[in-house]
Amino acid sequence: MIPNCKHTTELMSQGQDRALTLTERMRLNIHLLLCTRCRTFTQQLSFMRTALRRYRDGA
Amino acid sequence: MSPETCALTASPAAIEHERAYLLRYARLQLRNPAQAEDAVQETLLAAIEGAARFSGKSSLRTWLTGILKHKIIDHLRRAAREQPLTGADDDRSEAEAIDALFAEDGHWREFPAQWGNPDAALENSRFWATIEMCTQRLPERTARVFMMREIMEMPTEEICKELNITATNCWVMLHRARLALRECLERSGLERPTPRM
Repeated sequence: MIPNCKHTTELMSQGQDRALTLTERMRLNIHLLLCTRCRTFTQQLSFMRTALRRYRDGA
Repeated sequence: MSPETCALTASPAAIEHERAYLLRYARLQLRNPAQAEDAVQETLLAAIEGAARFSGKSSLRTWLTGILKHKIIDHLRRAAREQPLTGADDDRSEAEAIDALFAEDGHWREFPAQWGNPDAALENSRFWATIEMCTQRLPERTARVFMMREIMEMPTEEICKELNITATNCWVMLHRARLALRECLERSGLERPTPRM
């Protein structure tokens, strides 16, 4: 079963907080393969993490 | 005296040199300038008193950050005792805000925008004002969990233990925070017609 975008964003977010299971990773990757919007969201997630840490560090 | 040369000795001047960094760190987490100032003051004091314990194995900043983290946690605990946040943030409106982003079949209603290369945006000072404004708009509890994760870089299990919430609850809040921050950044014009990497 391929999760929809809403569910996929939850998984992607959790991927920043815990190790996803193998099944979760497979579902996620299949979805990402097919969905540019969620691929963009992944980039946004890492953008936000990078930005917040740099802001904190004053770089 | 440059911070590099002081870094091995934790002199008061070298410690003081890190004040601005510590203050920004504390403000992001505590969201209260007076409390942040207190936490930093306590940190500087503890550091100067305990300067002999600084081994020089880590950088001075790392050492000070470690002390500050404890002081921040103390403040969070004290605040929780004195003025408990009643229940959750407006849980329903937060859930509704997320629902609004997706159609009934779970697809995005609006396409996420290309934000381009972080390096380019991060050089723009207006971007810093935006990110500060957007983090301040997060609801109190959500922001606390999110900052513990992203600013203090605490593992989820530690956050759960500290706040006495379940892991699932924690993940939900973190996810909400990210979607809300994303939404705010996008609405504030982060979307720019820059060429993709």
